[in-house]
Amino acid sequence: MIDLDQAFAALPPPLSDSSDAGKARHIWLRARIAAIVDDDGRRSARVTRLRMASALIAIIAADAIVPLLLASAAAPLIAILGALAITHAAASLALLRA
Amino acid sequence: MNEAEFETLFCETAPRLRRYLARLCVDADDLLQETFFRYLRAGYTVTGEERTKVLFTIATNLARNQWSRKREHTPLEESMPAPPGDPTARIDLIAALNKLAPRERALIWLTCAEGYGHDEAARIAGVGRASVRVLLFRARRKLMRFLEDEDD
Repeated sequence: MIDLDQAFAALPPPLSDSSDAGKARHIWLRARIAAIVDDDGRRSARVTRLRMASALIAIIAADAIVPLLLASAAAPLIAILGALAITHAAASLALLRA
Repeated sequence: MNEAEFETLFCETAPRLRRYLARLCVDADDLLQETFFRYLRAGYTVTGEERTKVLFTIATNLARNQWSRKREHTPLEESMPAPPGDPTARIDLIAALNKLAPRERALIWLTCAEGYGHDEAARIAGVGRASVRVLLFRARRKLMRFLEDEDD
């Protein structure tokens, strides 16, 4: 009857590889580079979100300010609506670019 | 962990992991390096033997992904450096191990060669604690049968 535990105990011990130190360095560098790339990705996602938020604020402000200005200058309704459309389009383009 | 500590960890643990992965898959060295890479990226703060268990767990998961992708029993190398004593016994054991399914090989190796208990082996291999005893019993029985067939 074969003794499995004895058979496994007779296996040679694990061998070190002379290139292990070099492999460790390679893996370390790879991990460092991956961490930097991840950081960059997170930062650019933050910048994009900030740009979109700022463009939205610009749209809201333009929608509020332009009609008020034109109405106070007694401009006709069509002019107010036209100016609103232009400022809205301009701000939306800024949002799309962001 | 700094680079020097990582290099020490790698040099100390890689031989055991390499030997384990060689029993599970053909591109053991690639998976070994990927195991340590993932360990570093995850930023584990465990120490001592827990660290080794985490590495074995990552290695087993990577090997398991490979088995799922290939969906076949990949033939493995049978050569290992000859130990003192009876070299034929060693060759028979590795050849018999290679005939087992990958998960059975993993469990047998973790318990018989690495000395982990059933619960630890179950955690590393990702099997339920209730099923590990049955799986191990069957695997050991198969292994014994393969060894006895080779003896005949």
